[in-house]
Amino acid sequence: MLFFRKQSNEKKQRNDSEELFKLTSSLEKNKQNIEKLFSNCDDFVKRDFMIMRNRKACIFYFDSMVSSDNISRFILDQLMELDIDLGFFKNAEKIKNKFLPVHDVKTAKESGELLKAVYDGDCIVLIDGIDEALIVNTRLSKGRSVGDPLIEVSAIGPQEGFVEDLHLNFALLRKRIKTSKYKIQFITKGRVSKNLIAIMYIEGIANDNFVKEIKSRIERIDTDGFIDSGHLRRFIVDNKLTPFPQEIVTERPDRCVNHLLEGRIVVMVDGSPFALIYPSVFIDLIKTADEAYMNYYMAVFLQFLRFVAFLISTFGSALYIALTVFNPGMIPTELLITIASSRAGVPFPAFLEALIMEFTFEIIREANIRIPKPIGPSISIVGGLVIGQSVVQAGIVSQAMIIVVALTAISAFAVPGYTTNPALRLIRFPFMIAASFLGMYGIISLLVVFIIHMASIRSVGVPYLSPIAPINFKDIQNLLLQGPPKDQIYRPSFLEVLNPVHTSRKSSKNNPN
Amino acid sequence: MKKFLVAILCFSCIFLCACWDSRELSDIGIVVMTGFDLDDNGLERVTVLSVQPFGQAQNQVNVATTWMGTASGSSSFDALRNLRRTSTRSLTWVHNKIILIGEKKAKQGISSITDLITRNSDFRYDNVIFITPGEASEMMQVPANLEKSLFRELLGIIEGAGEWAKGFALDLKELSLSSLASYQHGFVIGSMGFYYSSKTPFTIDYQEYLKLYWKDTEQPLAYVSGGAVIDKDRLVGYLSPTEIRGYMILNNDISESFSIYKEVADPGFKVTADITELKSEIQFPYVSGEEIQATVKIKASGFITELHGNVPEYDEAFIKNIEHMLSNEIASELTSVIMRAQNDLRTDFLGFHKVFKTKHYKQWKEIEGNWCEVFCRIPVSYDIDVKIRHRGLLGRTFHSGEY
Repeated sequence: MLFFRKQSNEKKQRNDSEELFKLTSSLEKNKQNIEKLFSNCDDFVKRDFMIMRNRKACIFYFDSMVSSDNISRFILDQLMELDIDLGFFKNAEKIKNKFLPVHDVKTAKESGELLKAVYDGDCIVLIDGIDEALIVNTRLSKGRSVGDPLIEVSAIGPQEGFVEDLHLNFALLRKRIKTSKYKIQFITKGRVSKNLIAIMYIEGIANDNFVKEIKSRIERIDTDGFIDSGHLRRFIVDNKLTPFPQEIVTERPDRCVNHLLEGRIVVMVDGSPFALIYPSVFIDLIKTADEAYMNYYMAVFLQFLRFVAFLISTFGSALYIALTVFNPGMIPTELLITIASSRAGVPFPAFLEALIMEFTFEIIREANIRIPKPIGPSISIVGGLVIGQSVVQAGIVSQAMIIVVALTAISAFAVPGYTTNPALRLIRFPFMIAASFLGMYGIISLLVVFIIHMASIRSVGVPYLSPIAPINFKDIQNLLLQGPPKDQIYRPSFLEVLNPVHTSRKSSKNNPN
Repeated sequence: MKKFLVAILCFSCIFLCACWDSRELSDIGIVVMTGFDLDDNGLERVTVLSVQPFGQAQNQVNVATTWMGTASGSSSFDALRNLRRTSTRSLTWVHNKIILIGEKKAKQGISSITDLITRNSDFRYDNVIFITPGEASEMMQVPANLEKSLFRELLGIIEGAGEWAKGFALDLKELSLSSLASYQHGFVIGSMGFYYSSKTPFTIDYQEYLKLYWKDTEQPLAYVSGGAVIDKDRLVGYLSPTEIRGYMILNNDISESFSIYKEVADPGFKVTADITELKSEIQFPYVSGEEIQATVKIKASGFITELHGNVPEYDEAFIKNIEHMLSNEIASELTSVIMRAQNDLRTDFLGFHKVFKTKHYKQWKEIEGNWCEVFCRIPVSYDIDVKIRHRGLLGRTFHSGEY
């Protein structure tokens, strides 16, 4: 019965928030309070020293997060050199203004502010007789520096990607949007981790209701902490049980700027190089930042190509099953004979054959992510050669099936949404099952079910299939066709923006064409 | 929990209908040609060519063999089912391309076949129907020359028939329409057959040639040419290649072009022209009771492809002269096929009744039952206008001696 003992969840939940206290003028007491909080935190450093001949002082910081050089030069050096009795300097404000040549110094009385600062890599200075603490910015950025985007590679766009350091990411965005209307609002969430979440939007373009809605959704979160922005999106999305992404996930600052100008809202979490963009619709799956940099016709063509790739990767295997098993009449005779003779001798039914190959490919793909880099190439050879070629030679899978699986796999990579939302890979399996039972009829019926499902999804209240359902031809023209090159470009109306004109007609008037 | 149960119920529905009509590709035989005959006992006999994909051995990819099966039964469909007695695969007709009817069966009547292939969804509308003088099963045993299988060879020949304009292919859709509209008055079906030739139909090197054991014997070669006339469901006669061309000219069935040859005795020259555009129309300028006169009006244009001999002055008047001669030549071709219909076969397979019915419906109602007799008496005149659009790359002829 031991296994079935009922566990009370209420009792298990322990208080994991920190105790708060107020600073007093006694240095000893303050020190005691702080040391009690950080007992067993061996990377927490306490350094006692004397200022103004005999006044006791103390600084605290986390060793790993501060620049020790800055602490020695701008805090210890400055304060220890003071040799006049400044006993009448009873408040920290005057010390801050006269003796600390550091760009960012604050004073604080509450332990809450103190702790937050120390976690960010600031240094706390306590002086005997003053009931305020000085918070000196001595942060040291030790993350990755800005580099190429790793997942969303662009051929001709900017080659900068977000990094884990949120402040560095702000710099990437701020330098692209030079206006005070560009707002960044912070929310700290996570009982233990205290992640900094930033909500960014452009005032006067983005709809305030969307900003409020996202903010309130984030405010409502009560959790220990976030590991990544991907973790955060689970809390924000409207419909949790769907493989379709209800946000754009991007690591490209230029794409963020593009969407901010469109009137969308960007959410970022400290420690994650991926920004979340709300609201997002189905069409965003096939859109990239590149379109804005391209020739009009090329942009339209590429979007069409990606949509075809989306269809192939979703329906490719299912169509193969349906056509060969149920509707061979729909395949041209010569092709049917070729497929049939490559199928002859394969011991499995088409569905099983497709399932074997799809699973094999998914396993290779999954393994490829986790293979250590040095042995990657050798494993790829085993995966590609052995499975691709030997399986056909051994007569386990037909050549046609290999072609179909390879095509669906390659097509999946052409769809931008697949790289940032791997869940989309799943939707081809239900279609394969439907095809194996009911053929083309099954695929079409399941497609109807999927479309109904998609029509029911909303991203922060925006219908997922807009601008197709509800239909808006102007939006389709602006989003998919990028607007005719010479005409006025409007922001998508489903975003309910405050200022609908993106590019006015004036801009094309200078153009002699 | 309730939702979950409903979901399970819905999901299990798909197992109810299950995959009853699913057939793995490796289990089916793809029938590409079907022949209908009467056997010696008077039973229906069918012969099929079915592509059976074979296994892929290590170095033997995409091997397919064509199986020829034959079976008899009390009805055509029964015979098709009886094929299963010897077939290793489940046969499917969705890819059937050619339907062949033997002469004996065609003389007995083709409506049972027309009914079967139109009623069954397995036979698609793009099937082409032919009648062969002789037995369909014999025709289907003709070996393919160059292609891997007879049906591919025949499909190639059928495609070329349009270019040649002396062969005719009727597809299933047209057959069913003709059967509906012209049951009483006859229509034309394409005809195919084979002849024997001792010449190798492909080139080989000398060593290979010496190895050929059959080089002295005659080999059958398949062809598509001419047509067969069906009247009141039965085969009544065949049309020669030139007659079928006359039929196609009258019915605007020329898909690409046709050539006209004329030999002129007096100045002594020969001319051949390729007619690329042709529009024909049957008109009835005089209709009174059973006294009917018909005119065939044709507008055609083309160009000279061959011209040699003693050509007189090569000028506009000469071209006009040639145009006139070509018109007469077309008219004489039409006369021969109309004579054939009126005097020999005594059936209006040429489609005069269709035009008459739409243009003179009242009179048609009166003489409908007696159309065959009326048609055989109709005098037909011709109004043919041929235009030579250009004379080819040569401005003159080599014989004119003016170079």
